[in-house]
Amino acid sequence: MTQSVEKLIQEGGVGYFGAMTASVSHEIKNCLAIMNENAGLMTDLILLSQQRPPLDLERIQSITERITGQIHRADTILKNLNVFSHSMDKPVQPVDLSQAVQLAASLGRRISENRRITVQHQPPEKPVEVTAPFFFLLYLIWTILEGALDAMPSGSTLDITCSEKKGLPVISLFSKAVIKPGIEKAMTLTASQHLLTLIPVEVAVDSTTTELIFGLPRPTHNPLP
Amino acid sequence: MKVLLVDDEKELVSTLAQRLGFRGIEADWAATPQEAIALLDQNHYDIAVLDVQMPGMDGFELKEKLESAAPHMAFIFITGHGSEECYHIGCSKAGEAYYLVKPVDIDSLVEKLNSLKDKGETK
Repeated sequence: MTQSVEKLIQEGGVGYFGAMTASVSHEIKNCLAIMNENAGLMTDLILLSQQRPPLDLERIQSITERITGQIHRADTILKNLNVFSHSMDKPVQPVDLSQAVQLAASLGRRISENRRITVQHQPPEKPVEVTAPFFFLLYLIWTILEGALDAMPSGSTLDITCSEKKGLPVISLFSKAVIKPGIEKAMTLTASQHLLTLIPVEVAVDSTTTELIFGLPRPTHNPLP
Repeated sequence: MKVLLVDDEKELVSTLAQRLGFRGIEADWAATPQEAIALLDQNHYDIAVLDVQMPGMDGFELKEKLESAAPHMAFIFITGHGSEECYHIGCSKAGEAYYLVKPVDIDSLVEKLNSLKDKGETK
């Protein structure tokens, strides 16, 4: 039974959903903790000023700016979470690949940061469209990203871009750090067969640029709005 | 009592240090485990308050390193990560009473710091 549950969690993407929501909730907790400390510091300063006036207004202003910054940070995190939650609304839909890559990287930011790897995403000049089950596309992108994180040394940077090559949507990974040889095979093995049936992906290594290239299926219908 | 606060959220840990200062507790802070180890090289601390999840090295691993350099130190863990596994590890490393979940109530933290000091758990 344990094996069946583990298989279901892996193949159905439940494990991925859990890992991302854990990462996001951790980030939101940090935002709340910073706002909590800054609100507390403001209260401390007000109480102190009642004994020893005047109140340092510049300090209060810098505290409110920090709180506002954290509100914006939490808002962005929650917007991403909301898009992620709605990624299962339709079985298949047109998706901007670059936005999907950005979202997948943002959702897992805490995980990449814990490994001290910076993921840099450079948006393409024009949108790259795919038609895919959105949730499983995010899962696939994360599987690719996580595979690369596993193969890279701590402290390095991973660049990820989207483009269209010969009419096919493509995700490219590049790092100045050494990515372990054979990673492309390891990554496709990591992605469950079920996932690869939903979104067939071709993997290649560009020997001149040492880029890892993931070719996705051509978009079929329903162009992006 | 001198306290070392370690959390990769710089805004959190720097603000917490100021607030502890208002309460008569001298606190230094570090935003990375490496900074914390460097601070311990140059200062004496009674208690360290460690974030559990940090880039490169988790709080439990950092505790081992700090403790080997300063066996007298006592530890409190703070976390934003509420998994059961993390809770059990945290409690086993510091005791249930000294494993706090963010956002942390300052009065509760001060109480725990004083309690560790009074118990003489800062060896």
